[in-house]
Amino acid sequence: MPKKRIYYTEFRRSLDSGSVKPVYFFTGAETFLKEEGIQTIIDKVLPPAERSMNFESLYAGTDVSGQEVKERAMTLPFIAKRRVILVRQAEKWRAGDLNVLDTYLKDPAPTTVLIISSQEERLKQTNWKNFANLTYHVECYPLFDNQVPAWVERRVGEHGKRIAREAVQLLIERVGQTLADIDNEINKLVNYIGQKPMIEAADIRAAAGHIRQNTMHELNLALGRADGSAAVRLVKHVLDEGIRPIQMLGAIAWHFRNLHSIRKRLDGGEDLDKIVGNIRNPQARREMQLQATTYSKQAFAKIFQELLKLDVHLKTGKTHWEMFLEMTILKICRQYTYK
Amino acid sequence: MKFICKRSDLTHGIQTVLNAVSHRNTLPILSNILFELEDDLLRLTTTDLEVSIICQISVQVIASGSITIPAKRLAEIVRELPDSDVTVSVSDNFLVTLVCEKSLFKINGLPKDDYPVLPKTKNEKGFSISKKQLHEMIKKTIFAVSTDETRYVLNGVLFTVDDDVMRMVSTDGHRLALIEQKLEKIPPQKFNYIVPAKALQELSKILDDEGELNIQLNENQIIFSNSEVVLMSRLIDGQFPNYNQVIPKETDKHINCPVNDLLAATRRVALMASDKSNSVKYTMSNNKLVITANTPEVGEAQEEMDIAYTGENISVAFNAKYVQDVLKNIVSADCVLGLSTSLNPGVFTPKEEDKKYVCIVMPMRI
Repeated sequence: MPKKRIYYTEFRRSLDSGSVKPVYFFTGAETFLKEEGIQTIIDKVLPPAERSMNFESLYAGTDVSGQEVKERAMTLPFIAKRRVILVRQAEKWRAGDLNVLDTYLKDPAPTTVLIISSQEERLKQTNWKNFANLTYHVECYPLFDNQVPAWVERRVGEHGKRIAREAVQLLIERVGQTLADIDNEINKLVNYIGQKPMIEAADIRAAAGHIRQNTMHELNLALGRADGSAAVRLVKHVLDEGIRPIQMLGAIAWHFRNLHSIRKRLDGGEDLDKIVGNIRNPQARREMQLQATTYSKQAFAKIFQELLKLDVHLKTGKTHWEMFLEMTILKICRQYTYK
Repeated sequence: MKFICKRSDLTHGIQTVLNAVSHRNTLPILSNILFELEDDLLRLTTTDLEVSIICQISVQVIASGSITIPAKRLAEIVRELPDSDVTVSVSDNFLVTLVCEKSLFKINGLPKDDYPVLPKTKNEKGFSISKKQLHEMIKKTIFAVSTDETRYVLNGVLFTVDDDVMRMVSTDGHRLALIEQKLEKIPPQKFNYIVPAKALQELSKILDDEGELNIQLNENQIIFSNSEVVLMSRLIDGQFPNYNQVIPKETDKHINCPVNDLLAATRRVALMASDKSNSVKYTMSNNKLVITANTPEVGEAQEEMDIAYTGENISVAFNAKYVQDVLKNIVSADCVLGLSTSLNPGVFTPKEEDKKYVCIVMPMRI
């Protein structure tokens, strides 16, 4: 059993090389990868004919206690090499359930593959940490921005098609980075292009939906990176989602307050890795490291002044607020950065 | 609509159909009983859209008609009424009045129009089986049905009829129960369907052990009926696993055990296994069976039994609950446990029974 967590890509490599572990523990926010990983294990371990007798899908808490899972896992498979037991919502288990399972995890049955999936992260708690250490712990975090295009290309390739680079960018821009959403759109596009071997940008414009969510978060990320053109483009999406300008301003100010607080600690001599060290999601951690050094301490004072001006502008009901908003964003991104 | 009947008859009718009342809030009318008067018969119907029960009782009809009445409330009222004649009448605004001696109840009903229409039973050819036999077959297989809803084909009992043999099989992937029974008459067609466990549980509750029950198929429904009660259930659509693969063709070690003694000993020893894995170990040696359970942090239990076995020594661990479930359903005084190795399925069969009854239990890792 590994004592460290591994990421999804490493898990896939391990599984593809034929190594099947007796206990998997899936955590992380990227549900699509978790489900894909779980399905890949099931496909690998159990041929369809053996599934009805040897595959059990259970829910912790409502369905089964740790004790029951242990009993089921210790039973030998019915005319198959292995039995697969999948337990979802493991976060509902209490300490007693984990204790019972700990004894199993220390000596798991070689004839059972136990897959445990948790929606919430409780790994800061000691008993969960110990539990995770006894399993093959696969963390399924959202892919990094630069990993998504490659994932899209691979996914399209699995359908026997190719996708143009411009089309990949357009797809991500329209759909967002949620893999489940992208996968749905890929399925739609593959049907749409029929016999054509490649998905072009025109196909995306014609058939892909515009379902991108969380644009407020992305707007903040773009501002944090001082990416003015992306930020201005995202402002329109945020407004289209029904977020009022004053709400948007509140969210932007909150983000800059966070960045300012990191900047102050950084300038006070604290180590950046230590400051952001309690952010568990590696992607979010990396993002904060990047953004914290984009603006100087002095720049933040000016940024807050600009935001104050925007606030007054919005609240006094002056016209052309959209233009003022865009100009403020461009000013922040282009005048106050080190870039 | 108006009729008079005995309180005991009405109670019987309501109790018979009550278990199919739906508790889902999405269709409130399904928590009502449909009352329909026809000739001298009152027909009570309930359904949860999967299982439907119809019961007919004799009443004195004064004015024909139909109505649906909230089942739970009605059952509570009728249960408390004095044992006398009950007069039930319905006014134009669907207000139901029950009069029994000096008691009077008024309860709001709903019109029949909103009640789902149940499929009409066609005169398909079916076959008959003694209620007692069917009752026993259900009891001996239903315990092994899976409750895992994701494995829907295992949520029912496989019902097959081939020539004059009726067979019922259930499994949850950890154990399997199979029973065969000879029919007196050869049915006109073969059967091979999965009947939901819920339907069989309800059927068990309303089956008395006298007379025969007719079994028919109607598209995707199975219908059990006699002169008084009809139970309809949808069938489970899917392929039941090839259970023949699971039953070992032969086992080389056969252990003869007295059923009641083995059951009692397993129950006692399992008390020390409950906190661990519910795993109980059976060690067979020369005419001796030693049952042990061991929970390091609690303690251990051991019990010895005399058995008829002269083969080589073997140890096997089973989930104590599974063994108890099997033994509770074996009526003969002795059973035979067939084994090949400690990792192969354990085959429990009754020693003297005229029908074929086999229970397979998968061992646990020792």
